[in-house]
Amino acid sequence: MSLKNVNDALNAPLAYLDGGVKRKRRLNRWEYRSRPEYRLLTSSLHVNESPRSKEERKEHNAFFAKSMLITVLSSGVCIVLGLILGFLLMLMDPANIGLGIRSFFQYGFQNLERVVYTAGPLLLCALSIGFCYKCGLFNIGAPGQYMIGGMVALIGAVNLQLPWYVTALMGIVSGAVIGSIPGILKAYFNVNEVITSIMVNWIVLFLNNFMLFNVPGLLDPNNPNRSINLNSVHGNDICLPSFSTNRYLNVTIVFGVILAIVLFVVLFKTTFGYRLRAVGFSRDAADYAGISSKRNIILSFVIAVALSGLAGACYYLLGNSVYVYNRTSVAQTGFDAIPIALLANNNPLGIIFTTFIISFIQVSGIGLQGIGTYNDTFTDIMVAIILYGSAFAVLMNNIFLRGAGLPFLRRKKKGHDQKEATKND
Amino acid sequence: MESKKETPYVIEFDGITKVFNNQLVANDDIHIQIKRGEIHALLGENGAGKSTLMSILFGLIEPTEGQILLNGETIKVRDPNDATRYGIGMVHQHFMLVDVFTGLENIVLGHEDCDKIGFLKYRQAREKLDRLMKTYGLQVDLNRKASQMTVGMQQKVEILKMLYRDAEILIFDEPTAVLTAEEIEDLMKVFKMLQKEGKTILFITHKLNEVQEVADRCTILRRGKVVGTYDRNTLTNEQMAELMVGSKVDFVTAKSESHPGDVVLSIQDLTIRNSLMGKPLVDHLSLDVHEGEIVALLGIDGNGQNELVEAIAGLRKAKSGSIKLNGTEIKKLSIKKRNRLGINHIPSDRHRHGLILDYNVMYNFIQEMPENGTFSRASFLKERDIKDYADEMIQKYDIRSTMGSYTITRTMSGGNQQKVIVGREIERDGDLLLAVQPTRGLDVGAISTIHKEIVKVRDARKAVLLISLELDEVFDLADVIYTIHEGRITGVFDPKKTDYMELGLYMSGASVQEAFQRKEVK
Amino acid sequence: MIDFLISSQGIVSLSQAASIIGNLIVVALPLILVAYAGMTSERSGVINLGLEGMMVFGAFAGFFTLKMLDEPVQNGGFPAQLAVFLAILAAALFGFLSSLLLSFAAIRLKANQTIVGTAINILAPAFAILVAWAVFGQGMTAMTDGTPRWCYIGSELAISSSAISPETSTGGLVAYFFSNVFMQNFFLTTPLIIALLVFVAVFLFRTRTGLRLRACGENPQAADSVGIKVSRMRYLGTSISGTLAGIGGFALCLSIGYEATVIGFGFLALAVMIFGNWKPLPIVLGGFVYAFARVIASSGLIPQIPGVSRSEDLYYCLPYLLTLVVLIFASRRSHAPKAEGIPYDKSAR
Repeated sequence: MSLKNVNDALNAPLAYLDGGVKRKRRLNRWEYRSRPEYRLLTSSLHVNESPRSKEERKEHNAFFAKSMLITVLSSGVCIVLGLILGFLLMLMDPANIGLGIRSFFQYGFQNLERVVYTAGPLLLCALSIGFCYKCGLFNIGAPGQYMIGGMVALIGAVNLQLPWYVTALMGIVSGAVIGSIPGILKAYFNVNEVITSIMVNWIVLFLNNFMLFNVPGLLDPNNPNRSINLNSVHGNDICLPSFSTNRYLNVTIVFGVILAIVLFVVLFKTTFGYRLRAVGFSRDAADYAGISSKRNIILSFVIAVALSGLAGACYYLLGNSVYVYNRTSVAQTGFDAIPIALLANNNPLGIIFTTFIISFIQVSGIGLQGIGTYNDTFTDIMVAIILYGSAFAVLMNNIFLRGAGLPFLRRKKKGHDQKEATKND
Repeated sequence: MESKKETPYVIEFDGITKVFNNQLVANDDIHIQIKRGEIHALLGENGAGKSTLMSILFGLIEPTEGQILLNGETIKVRDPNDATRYGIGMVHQHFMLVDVFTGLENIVLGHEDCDKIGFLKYRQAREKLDRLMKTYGLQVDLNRKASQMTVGMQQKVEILKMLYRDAEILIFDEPTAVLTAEEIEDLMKVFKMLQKEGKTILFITHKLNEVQEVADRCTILRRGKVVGTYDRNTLTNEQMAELMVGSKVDFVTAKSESHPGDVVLSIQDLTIRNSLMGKPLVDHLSLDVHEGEIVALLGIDGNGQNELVEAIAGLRKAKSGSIKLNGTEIKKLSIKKRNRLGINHIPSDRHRHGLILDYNVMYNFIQEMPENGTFSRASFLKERDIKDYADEMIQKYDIRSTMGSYTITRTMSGGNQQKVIVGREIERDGDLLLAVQPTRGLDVGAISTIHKEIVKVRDARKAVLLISLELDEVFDLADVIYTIHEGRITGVFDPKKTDYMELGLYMSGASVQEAFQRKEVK
Repeated sequence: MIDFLISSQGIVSLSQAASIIGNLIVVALPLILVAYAGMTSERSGVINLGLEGMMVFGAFAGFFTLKMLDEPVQNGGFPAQLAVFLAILAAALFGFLSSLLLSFAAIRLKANQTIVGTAINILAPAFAILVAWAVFGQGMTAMTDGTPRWCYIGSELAISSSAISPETSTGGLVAYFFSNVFMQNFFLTTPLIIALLVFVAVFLFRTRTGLRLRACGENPQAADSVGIKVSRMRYLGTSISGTLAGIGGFALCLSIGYEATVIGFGFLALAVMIFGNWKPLPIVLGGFVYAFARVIASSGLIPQIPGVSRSEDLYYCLPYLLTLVVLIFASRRSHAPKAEGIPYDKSAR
């Protein structure tokens, strides 16, 4: 190509390519939208709907059974380890250890109603954290959402005397509004959601204290450091419906279980869940595929934090508990829910089970009170150890799932590898 | 023992074998002897085991079997510190520089001068480097941060890093892959200079011309084995290529004449900037791609071609100009809408963009369109149909993995990951295929399969915009070649009427006039 | 001028100013020190979200030591400042030990650093309460009854603040002012922290090890390729971080009181670190801004909002709200170490 040719080409690009070919009809906007994005490789995909062979189904089921088993195994290891280390700490007062361990379990099993009662808000908070985690966000702001949800619900019940389903809704909305701040900051400014969530927790704590003293009628006249007991408020359906007179068995746990199932289906069976998890795994890859990471991050945060708000509302609307003024710590429930979610690998169905286990440990810890120098902070230690372990549990799962860990997974891998190796040669 | 000075070989690879994970043989009984003071090229395809061999020499990987001899004595190189002690230095393909450190800090890192307490002292280092820069003609601003240097400057810093450590044996892993033509010329001069000062140079390359120009000897590797070591100018380019690939190389894939139709993608006056005031990455660029043709955009890496594709796909905002697809302005549309309008995109960074590595393979096949009616009903995923589709794709593109459709994509090899992306994008219906280095990291067989598929896409009356750094690939596929330099189109060529030399000149940004003159001189 | 200061109004504001400045310094310094702790760890490539817990560990160990030495000091058989010094050592040791929990998990096992940090945060108060109760009996979370008087530097000196009369002279005025600032508020930790801040900044930016440590946080592959042991550097970074956090936690609790919690200061310190862009001097500036917001909120200087009871609770929100706003702006020009939070995998180089 000489200089002249180059110049020609530059001046009249593609002039030599003017081979006339039939014009393609332009599709309009609506046609674009309705056309299938995938060309079908073969017609078999739709015509051939014959059920899969039994063997294939079996292989499929076996695969998922194995990955389930691994999750359960690694979680179990963490829990047992936490319990054992917790009990080892009781050696600080060796005289009472036998009695201590006995009364620990005794109290737990004798107060199963109470286990269920504690499990309710924990379950909702854990679902909140797990759902966020599936979208790649660590919702450490559950305490704040829990507290604001509870406070707003209390105000609705005490001051406006609204029925429980309205106040619970108020709790959900307030939790969602406050809790979505870190989500928005994450999506638009890429600010670390852990730090912002913690900040919001403290802001909510002081805001709640402020409201406690400044919303008329909220303070208990007999004890000016806490909110009034709901039982003394008159109105229809103020308190949450419960199935037992001590209110330990109430609708919170029912909400929790139903929502867990719903979240499971949403996460793993729908396109919405597909997109959320895609964003969780890789923001960039999701954006590339046309899945808006900003939109999905905010959406998942709003859904999740609404659950924590509901947890708080349910807890304070029950009538068993009052809001106590404090300046130094945020609601522990929100933190306790973190290991619950992680132990279950953030799987909503798994969370139901881990909730009951952690709840059992917490309730049993009460049984330690009054024995020697023991107290219920033992359970906090156990929970912390379990959480520490669960940081590896997620890791263990991944390692196992990649087939590097357990022999029964290896066997199958080997077969394929050999095939691959021979193909490579 | 006594043989130390007698042997003419500074480095000898004696039966080096490296097996990864008990199955992948990267190096198979390698015997190579490197003479003192020579420039030795290591030639081979992707995956031939060149980088593995060099990593073994530099102590990054431990060999499964075999030994390395330095001046006739067996040495054990356990880590880069050992290598440095033995006078071996390496410039990695991806430079090992800390962005926020200055050139000086980068050079001394790991071998810092300091006083007794441990405070850093730079004076001696500066003096030594000034001397080195003068001797070898490697002028670098030592106070500039690495992130603010050009690629060529960063490479000089890397070379200085080796010289500062008194390396006698210098390893370069594909040193010219990221350089402009001028920078390559400079580097070759530096090579000669280094050789004059008695250094031994070992460099990995794909480019046959470089071997002819600068290497005293070259060793060709194929699939982990040594094919042979040859003296300078005993082989022609064609012979070398044949030895590399193992069969007669057909540089041109059979494909029919293209019949371009309507304009599918029309880019007018497009400008992209990184920051508000920064230098434009793409500078008033105009380009048309017609249906039924493959347009290749050829340029040295980092000249705006990736940014251009990202702007078309929607991953990057364009500052001004217009991007039209089938006559519709898409500059401001979301990525999702662009996908629906018919853009298929094979991205340059498969780990960052192309794949969701923690999803299994079958989910990655439906990445762009999970809500497509074929794969979901009323927003519920149809697992079975997705699996059937994935199984077919796996078969068609020969994607190898441990657990078929259920394999977590992260665990697969790079080549197989690339096949997932390419397969998905080729099969998705659309009018425009943006293919950025579609065959990166693939073996010869896979490359020819994918090339055939891309030609098929073209013959199905779609438009293809190909971005490639490989001239061979461009010649193989393109119907039209545009060269790009610093964000501007420098030339338009018919692949049948041009050659490597001419394209190389235009890619390096030589103006038309200048290019012509240079050609005349040569 | 002096007349004005001597007027009753003047003296009130003078002592107020002294107390604010004193409080500002004793709150700001631990905050800055802990932010430095975060910086050291993140510069080496490990995100330390467990700062809060490490502070509690340190504070616990420090107060435990104070409690054990309380009697000997009261009896005059033990020098007070030596006791404080031993308490600081204990705090440093516990901070260091707790940081091993993080570094082992994050570096050796490549676990999720965020979760491990959170686990430490939960573990610390539980551990502190548990041990305190086990040793000193039920409900003895605080161990000592507030910070013992003898801990203050001023208690060592014979001059009591009442002995200095501001009326006498300008010199007396200055002496009064400083005795109020220093003697009423300062501890041995105060000068120690200043020394540590200088030491850490010099260590990170002027020494060989500091250079190598920073390289590991930015580009561990590059560091590895020049023979630097990445995991060793990261252990070092986290260990320094834990030690500093332990001392910082103890110093903070000396001035605000110990209750087995540091009320979110660990996270505030992280925010200060982000605000300061992982650089020493801006962090010092940020620390003082935060401490100022907090001291002003609790000083009672801001008028109560009319018609509202306990409006100080609203003021307490200020530092946290400030953080949110600052983080938004800081995110735009963030220079976070590039490799922070990513476990280094040798095989991936």
